Amino acid sequence: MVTKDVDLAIIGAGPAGMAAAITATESGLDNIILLERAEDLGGLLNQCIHNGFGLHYFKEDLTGPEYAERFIPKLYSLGIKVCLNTMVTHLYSDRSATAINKEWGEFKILAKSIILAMGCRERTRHGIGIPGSRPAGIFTAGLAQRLVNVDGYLPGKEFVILGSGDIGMIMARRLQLEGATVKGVVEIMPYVGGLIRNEVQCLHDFNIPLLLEHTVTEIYGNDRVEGVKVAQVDKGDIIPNSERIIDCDCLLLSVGLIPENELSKEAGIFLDEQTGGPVVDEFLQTNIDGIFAAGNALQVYDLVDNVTLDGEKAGRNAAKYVAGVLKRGPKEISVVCGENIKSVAPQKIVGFDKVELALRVQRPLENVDLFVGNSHKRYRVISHTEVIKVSLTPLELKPYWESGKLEASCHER
Amino acid sequence: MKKVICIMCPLGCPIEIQLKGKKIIQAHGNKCKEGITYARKEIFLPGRVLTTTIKTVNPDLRLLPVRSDNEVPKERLMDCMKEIANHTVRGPVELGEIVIKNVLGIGANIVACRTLS
Repeated sequence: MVTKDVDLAIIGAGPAGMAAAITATESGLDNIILLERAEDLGGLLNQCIHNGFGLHYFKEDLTGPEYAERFIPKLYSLGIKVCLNTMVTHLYSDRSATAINKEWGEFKILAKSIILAMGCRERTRHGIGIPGSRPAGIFTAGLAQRLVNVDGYLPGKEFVILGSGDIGMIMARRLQLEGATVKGVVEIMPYVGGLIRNEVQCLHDFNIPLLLEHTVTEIYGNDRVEGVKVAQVDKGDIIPNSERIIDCDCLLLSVGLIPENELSKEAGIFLDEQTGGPVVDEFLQTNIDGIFAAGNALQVYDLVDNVTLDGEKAGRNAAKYVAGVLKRGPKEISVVCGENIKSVAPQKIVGFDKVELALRVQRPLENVDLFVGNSHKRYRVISHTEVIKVSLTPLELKPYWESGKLEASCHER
Repeated sequence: MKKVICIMCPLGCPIEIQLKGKKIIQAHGNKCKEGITYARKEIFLPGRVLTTTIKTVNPDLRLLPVRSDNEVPKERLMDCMKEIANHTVRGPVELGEIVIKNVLGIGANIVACRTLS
């Protein structure tokens, strides 16, 4: 079996993996392998042909493929070893892995450090348990996006979309532009799941109805979807006699994303129930020394810009780890979620430098006081869709080394 | 009073506009000055960047992602889609290269969003 001895193996060449590879190289590592199971670099960016990427990182409004192409030539010019069509099949706690591709067959990787950049996957019908028959015409929104934008197939004519996350709304517009009809976007919560700008430019612009506090309770059709039953919901409970049937030949599900961590689990990496990704410290290092996590594999981000920044951070720290200069102290502080906080990453602090936390709130909040320990910030609104970043200096962290606990919480005034 | 929701960035500020004829005399809710620019445009000449795909003859990349390099008036979006469907890209293109010049004469080019070699 071919064996590859590397300083750094990066699993996944989406925005996190590409940024990690570039930054690790620029930080002094030169024996890097970037492993990607698809036939192209860029990951999900290739099918996200809409604009809105890079507003923070590049101060430009780019489409997904344009954003990817900011990184791809750089990867090659730095001479980073890229393995496309390569599937990592196993990952072990000693930082070894097995992978498979056409060039080497099944091969072994022995890495001094690893960055997990596998991204996320979609929740399916199974994950939300919609009863009914199992006809053709039920797709996750991301799969439909791939079919329409990359493969050139329109998977139906009349659509109902369950879930008002960004992908769901963006697909609603895309399908409408391609000549299909979107009869409604159904959202169980009393507020839209994705960014407001997407509600405006994807739904309002095309007069697509948004049914808040509604859900799909049944799917009809034997060979092909013929319709869905939609019911009104009150705090999660279906309101009796509120059901109606919407005729359609396709149901898209945009009901959440889950960090992809099957490999992490196999290696014995601890996962956080809230983020769905690995528990990490401020270096993005997991419980296994030398294994780092970045991007949507760590937590599902709102913006690709944050994914890139994560990848850079992981790349920089992996280089430090390999050089033996990643400094951590004997103690650690656990960061815990208080009132109204849904998730936080990193979940622990182990070093002595400035720390950046990424927080998500449980629901949309107005006139907010955000506390992380004693540090306080005010916000007019915080959306449940956005990732809030809070920086803490070593001085601000000092009081918490004793108790080993730092709480983040949000309160509405 | 007119209400618009700004789409210039992910914040999505709800902006309330007081108009006197074609002049904005008061605005509330915008967190930055881009909001006013957007509100004026959205009220008087709403447009959107169009992103879609165009057929190619390359079996490895059957669809080339493209965008308009300028805003397309909202009511012409579907016309542009129909026009773009009539075109096929033959041969290599560079990122940013114009694939349809001044589509339907509306003052926007359709440009490639990735390199096709």
